[in-house]
Amino acid sequence: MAAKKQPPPQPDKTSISFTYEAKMQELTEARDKAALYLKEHGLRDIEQTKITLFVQGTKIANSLIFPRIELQQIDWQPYKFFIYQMYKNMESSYLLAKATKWTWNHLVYWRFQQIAASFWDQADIGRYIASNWTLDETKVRLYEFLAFSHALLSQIRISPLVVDLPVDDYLALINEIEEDNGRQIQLQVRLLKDMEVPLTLDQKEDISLTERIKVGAVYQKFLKFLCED
Amino acid sequence: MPYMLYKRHSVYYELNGEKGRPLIVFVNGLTQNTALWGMQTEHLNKLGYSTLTFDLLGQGKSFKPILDINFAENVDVLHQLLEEIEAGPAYVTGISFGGVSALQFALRFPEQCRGLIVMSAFTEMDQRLTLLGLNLYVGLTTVGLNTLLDMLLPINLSSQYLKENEQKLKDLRKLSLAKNDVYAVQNLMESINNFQSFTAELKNIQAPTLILNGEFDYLTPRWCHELMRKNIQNSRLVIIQHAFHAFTIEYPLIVNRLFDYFVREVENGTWPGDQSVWVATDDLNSPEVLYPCLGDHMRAIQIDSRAKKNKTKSARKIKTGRIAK
Repeated sequence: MAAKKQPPPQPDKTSISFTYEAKMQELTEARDKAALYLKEHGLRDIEQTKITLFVQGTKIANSLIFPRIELQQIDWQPYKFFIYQMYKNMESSYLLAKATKWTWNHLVYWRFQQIAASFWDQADIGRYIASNWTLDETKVRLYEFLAFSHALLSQIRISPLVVDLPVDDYLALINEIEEDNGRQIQLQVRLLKDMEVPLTLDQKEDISLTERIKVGAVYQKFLKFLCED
Repeated sequence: MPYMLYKRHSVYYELNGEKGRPLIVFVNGLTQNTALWGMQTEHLNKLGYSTLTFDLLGQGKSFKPILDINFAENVDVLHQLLEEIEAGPAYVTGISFGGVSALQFALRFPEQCRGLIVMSAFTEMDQRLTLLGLNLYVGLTTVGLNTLLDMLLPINLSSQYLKENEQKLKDLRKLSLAKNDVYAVQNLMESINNFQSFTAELKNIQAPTLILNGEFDYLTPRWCHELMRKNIQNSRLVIIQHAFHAFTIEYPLIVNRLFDYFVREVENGTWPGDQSVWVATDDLNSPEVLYPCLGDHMRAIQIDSRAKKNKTKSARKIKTGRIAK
């Protein structure tokens, strides 16, 4: 008698990976919409201002965590990486500030404050800066921070939105920053894979996905802001 | 959009053509995605074949694991996908990285493999292939995805194609940089870090097998495909004239013709898998699809048989006879 055919596996709708994939689908749609908006409107001073404020905001938030790490007992390789990343964040922020055509529209800056506040809130950055880490927590917390930082660098990308636009100094700089983000991601992936931490592979992946969901939500909010007239 | 759930992750696929028709499955190369098989699938669908393309984990629209991609799982993904779409045995084809998976699929799931087409692939890595792979990896991780793409172009395509399609390739590069996730490409490359030779297992492949190799493919040169020809009993090796590593892009019509020829031969029960070596015609109007390969297919130059018999004497003759004058 032939074996009864098993039905195809159904997704566990309560799982983090299911939520993640659903959120990423929403994010892809938001990204496509923003790309279309920029194709129609181009990169005017108002869009450049919004992009720069947001990218700088993420880089600064990421950098503010580094002094906190300074006080932890961490291995040499991750420490070296964090310091490298901190200086790269500063460099990117300074160059972006110089290359941007800033808008005179003060409402953009006011609206951005709301986006920035929700970034800090949704990405829960305070947990790295404000809380006291016990020694036992340190490795897991560092791992979470690496995953958060990986999500920031790999998800918040402007170049996929501007594929159809001619490359000027501003866009060339954006591309350079993202290329450098790519190099940093290589090191992050290595650390995320190899860092000794008392977690199973599934637990590690869940942490990475959770951080990506948080960062993705903030990015999606920014994309909506970018398309506001 | 059709997705299949593999373990915790979704796998994107596209199934086209009528059910019940011979099904050809395409396994992607490293930086490929389903869209890049468009030149094959459209044509083959018109000829009446069904086609199945899918993105491996880490590629295109499939889930991109952040921490780990297991190369062996590519085969499990395809096995599950064929079960879920309730396909019978299929013709499995893959190029480069995907060609390796296609071979491993034929070994692990022979009952699902009606025929095998392997393109620009390998079953073991010599020093050159190891170093070339390492250079590509270092290019990606220390400079960036742009460098990896730039390094791959002259490996994959001929000068003529690069020249004639300069703008198109620039646009594709821009799009690829924007759409690819660097960490996913890194994970895909690292998935073959612990690659083990499986040449010794090739003798277990029973499926009719067409092995395709570009005339000038220096990433996976002739010896890689010669190992397959010698070890897979029901096989034939066909050399694609003028081609480099990615001949599915440069010579899509020639490749489509070979796919059609191979599947028809197998379906008709006339596939002469005799481990012989052939050259694909470069003339689409030619009634012949293949010609026997004359001479030594392992050499880039054809040596006079007299020179083979007496190397020293012949060499001396040339030296004294021509250069001395």
